[in-house]
Amino acid sequence: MNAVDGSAHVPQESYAEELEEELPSLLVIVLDVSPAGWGTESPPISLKEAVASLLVFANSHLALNHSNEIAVLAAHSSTVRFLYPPRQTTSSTDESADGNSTNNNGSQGAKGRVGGLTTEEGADPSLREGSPSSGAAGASMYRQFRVVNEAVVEQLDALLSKTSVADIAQPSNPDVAVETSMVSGALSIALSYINRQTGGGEATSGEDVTAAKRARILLVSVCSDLAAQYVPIMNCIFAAQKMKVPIDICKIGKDTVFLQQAADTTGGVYIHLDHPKGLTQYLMTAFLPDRLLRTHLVLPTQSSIDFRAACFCHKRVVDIGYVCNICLSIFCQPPADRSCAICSTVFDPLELSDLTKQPVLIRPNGQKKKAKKKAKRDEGSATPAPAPAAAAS
Amino acid sequence: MSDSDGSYNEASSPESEEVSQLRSSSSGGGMNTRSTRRSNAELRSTTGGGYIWEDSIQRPWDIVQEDEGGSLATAIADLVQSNKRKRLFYEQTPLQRGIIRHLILVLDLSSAMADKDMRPSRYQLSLQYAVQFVNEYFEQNPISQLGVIGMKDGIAHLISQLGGNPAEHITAIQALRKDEPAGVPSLQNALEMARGALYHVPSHGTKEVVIIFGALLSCDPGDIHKTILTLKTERIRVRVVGLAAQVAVCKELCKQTNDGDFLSTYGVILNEQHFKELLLSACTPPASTKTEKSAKGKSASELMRMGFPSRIVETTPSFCACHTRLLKGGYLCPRCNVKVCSLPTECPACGLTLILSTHLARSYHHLMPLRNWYEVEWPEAKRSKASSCFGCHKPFAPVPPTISSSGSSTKIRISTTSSGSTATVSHQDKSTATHTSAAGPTGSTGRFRCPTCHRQFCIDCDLFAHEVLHNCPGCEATSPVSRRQNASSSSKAAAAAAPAFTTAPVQV
Repeated sequence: MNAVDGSAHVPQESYAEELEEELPSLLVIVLDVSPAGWGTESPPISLKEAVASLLVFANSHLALNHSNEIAVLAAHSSTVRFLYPPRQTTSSTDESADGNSTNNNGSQGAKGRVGGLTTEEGADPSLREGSPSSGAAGASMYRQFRVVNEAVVEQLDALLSKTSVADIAQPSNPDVAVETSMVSGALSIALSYINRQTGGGEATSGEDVTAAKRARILLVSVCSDLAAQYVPIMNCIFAAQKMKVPIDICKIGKDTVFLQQAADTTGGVYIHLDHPKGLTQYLMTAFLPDRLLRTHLVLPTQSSIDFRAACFCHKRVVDIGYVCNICLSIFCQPPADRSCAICSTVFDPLELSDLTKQPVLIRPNGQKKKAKKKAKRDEGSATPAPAPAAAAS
Repeated sequence: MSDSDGSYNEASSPESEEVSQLRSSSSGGGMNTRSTRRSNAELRSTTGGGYIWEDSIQRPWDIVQEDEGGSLATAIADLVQSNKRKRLFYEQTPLQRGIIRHLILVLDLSSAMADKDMRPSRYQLSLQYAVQFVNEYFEQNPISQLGVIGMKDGIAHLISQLGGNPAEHITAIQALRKDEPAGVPSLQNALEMARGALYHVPSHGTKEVVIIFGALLSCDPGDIHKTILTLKTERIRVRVVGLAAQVAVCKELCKQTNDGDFLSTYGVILNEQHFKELLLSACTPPASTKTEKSAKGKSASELMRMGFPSRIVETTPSFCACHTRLLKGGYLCPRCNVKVCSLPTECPACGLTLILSTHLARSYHHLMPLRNWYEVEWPEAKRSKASSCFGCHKPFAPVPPTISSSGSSTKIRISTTSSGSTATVSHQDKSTATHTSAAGPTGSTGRFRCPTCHRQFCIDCDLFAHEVLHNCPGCEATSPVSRRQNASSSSKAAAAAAPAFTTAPVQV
């Protein structure tokens, strides 16, 4: 079999060396748990199944390297919550300690952390059944896997059981659930967490900076309506780009343009799941390799991304637009009242008339004489602009 | 923090900067309306109004105090903290800013740059920082343009043309590394060349010149004051970073071209770090001024026609119109269907500005700045339930049981970070908290609170959120109802930016 998988030519020793030098990587999973996304009439995949797949994925990430770390965030429709590591009520754990020495004291610290949580008995067993940590398997399970699995399920359960109808109802129409989730907030928190874990801004010891972990974010998204969070999400994308943190997107449901842009800008993978039931396979094949490995792999990605902008006035998608130079808002046509609808700046009428000017067409020979007078009048715009520009005005 | 020298330099530099600020403001009488940080710094300044050499000598070994264990770790940590806190004041008024910038970077390549007062030499260091500046400039101003000019042998050399591609400028600057600095600089020649390069700039763009000036002289062919006046009428703003000492003509140059505000535009460096700060501060888009508008007679605002091209992926390579490179992908101009390889650019065929919507989004944080967070006092820290930073999970320093002196509080902080048994300590804190809440607390809590969502953050997250992220993780994680209120208030603030700004006293 070794000959088949193409690894035969790799000398065994150098391979081992590479593994030793491999830097630990931090994976932050952001799970979109908005009720509107999962609670549809016939969801392509239930939340229970999705969580089970994610935990398998999380465990395999931890299994790749002893020092690999993981954090799981839930983006609810009204709040964001750390599923793992759970937020402490007492400041007892020094989390920077389990950065490089996870093998020794890290698991102990984690054990203590989760030990306090597992004593709570109010957990809904239905969720736990779906997770791999349930039942007899839990006893013989690798400690770190169990720690993560139990914490995630506990916290998620606590989060979902606390959710009331009032929390997710739209303020204008209480019968309809909010169709959004705090993706921007979750990304912001994830980036702050990564910033600290990778030693950014932390100047306590020089060793931390050299041994900076590689980090990446995986966002499992079910919501499609993120328009209200456009600017914050964009800010997150640019921050991630600056920190060289790829944002991978695993999209269930309708495509979202911002998230496509997020993956493209930060060098992540964007996959829209055609068969959500096979979530585990998608995760294991496309999202498990880390940044360095990805250069050697051919990963599925999006071929074309829609970079066109939607105008602020009619929400039309435009390919030629007009941009206010004060507030950078995009309009599909020069505004009728000569002022910007967003920042109410009054535009220079002369400049506006330049934009609205009709292009002059060169007429065929027979009609040239007739058109001569007209052409003289418009001599300023003798350069014929092609027809599409006329459509905009 | 392996070397304490670095921290000493950083920590001591702001104070001397404050002194020089104070001195120049008292002598020049200029108004400093733009920078709130500076005015805060002046308020905090404890030294008298004299010259820096009249102050008592500051010895680094006096500043750094050993703690009980004989270790310098606490002292260094305190210095780092205070250095971080110094950077916590950001411009938060939404100002009208010139987002579409045209900037000429003028490098001094004269023999004065051969000095080795900075490592490895002024010349090499300024080239290194110039490359960083170009990167940072294009990151913050994606739809802007930049050009580079060098001053050498009494004349101005064009290093790279005004253009929007950072790679071209960086290669041009890198190529200078092999050369040697020579001759005298000529400010007038450089300014005239910059004026020529900026001549065609449309009225909606800003025209700026940033000069790195190492020499103390300028060898000019004519009257430089006439050039300065021409620059003023053409509304070209000049910033100067001096490497040696203040030069009168530079001060005059900045004063004339920036409506009398030379304090924020002319800086003389104190050390390498300060050099970098001064240079990179020019990356922030300049606020539009009222005088600029009135001088022009008409508003600087206008609509720009821009194309949002779509990306294509081809199976066979084809040439791009901008660099004639064979590529398999690219962007098609929506008006003339010409293929270009990189954005933002101007369409080489029809001249339409081609950008991505993401480029516009990159500038939004200049227009909608994040509000400053304020430091949480000890009594408030006691009342709040938050025990760890909302952003990064870092546990806060527990509230000390007795707040008598700063020494005790730091001691407790050390003990908590070294040992893991703080749960009991914090319980004791809570019991005693009610009694001592009225006592005057000293020392820093290390907690910072967002005024909108009232969540508490550590200092690292504060810096990260304001400098990199430009989002408040707490506000973004709150429910849509409150968020909508926030959004409406912020949009109101943005809408009110124009009238609010015109009332600001910018004129001299």
